[in-house]
Amino acid sequence: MAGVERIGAGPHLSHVAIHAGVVHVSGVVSPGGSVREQTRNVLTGIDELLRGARSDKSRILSATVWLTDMRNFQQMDGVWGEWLSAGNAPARSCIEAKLSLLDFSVAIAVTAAQ
Amino acid sequence: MSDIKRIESGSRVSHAVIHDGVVYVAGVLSTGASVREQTRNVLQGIDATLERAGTDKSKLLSATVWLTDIATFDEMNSVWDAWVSPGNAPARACIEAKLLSPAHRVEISVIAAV
Repeated sequence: MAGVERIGAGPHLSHVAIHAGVVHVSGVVSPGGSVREQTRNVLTGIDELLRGARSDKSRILSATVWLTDMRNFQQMDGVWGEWLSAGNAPARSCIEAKLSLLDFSVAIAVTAAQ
Repeated sequence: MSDIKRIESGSRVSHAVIHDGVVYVAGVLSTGASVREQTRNVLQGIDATLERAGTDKSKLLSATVWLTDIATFDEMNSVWDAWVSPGNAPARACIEAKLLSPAHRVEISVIAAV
């Protein structure tokens, strides 16, 4: 049995859980600003978490994107497209959902290989 | 290539699927008068399924929590926090979504190391 390594372990969640070479990243949000800005900040946050887990965005296996308003899809997708490692897009799904009582417009969770 | 083992496999869904040292647990629902009660029942159900898979909540990698009303986030969290194995919280995302019926107010699915 391979062990589980956790980064940023708190009472509700760990930012990252690593097991058997796979990195599970919590849903990342960033308050304030436009969908474009929030997406940029969320993806920067994911970059940092993946770096801490000895992985990077070229190794992402799957991603789930939640938007509070699907009309913001293009805004999110534009930033996402600029951010992606070319040729290494993950499997992705995008759903509209309410995220919290705060002003989050976008949340993204990813799974990556180390 | 390693085998796939299914637990309580039905015609439409298995309660859990195990592959390569990782167990994927289907979304668990419960009836109950409050979000608190439903969360408690759901987490007991997850405990039981993890046990059948030969693991436990200290090995959780990732969790997705769906609430029919995101305003019940704190109510869910109070039960969740008391349940989580200290220092071993999984990566987690929580979003609002319509569930099986209006009576169902919380659903949780998890992935764990075996």
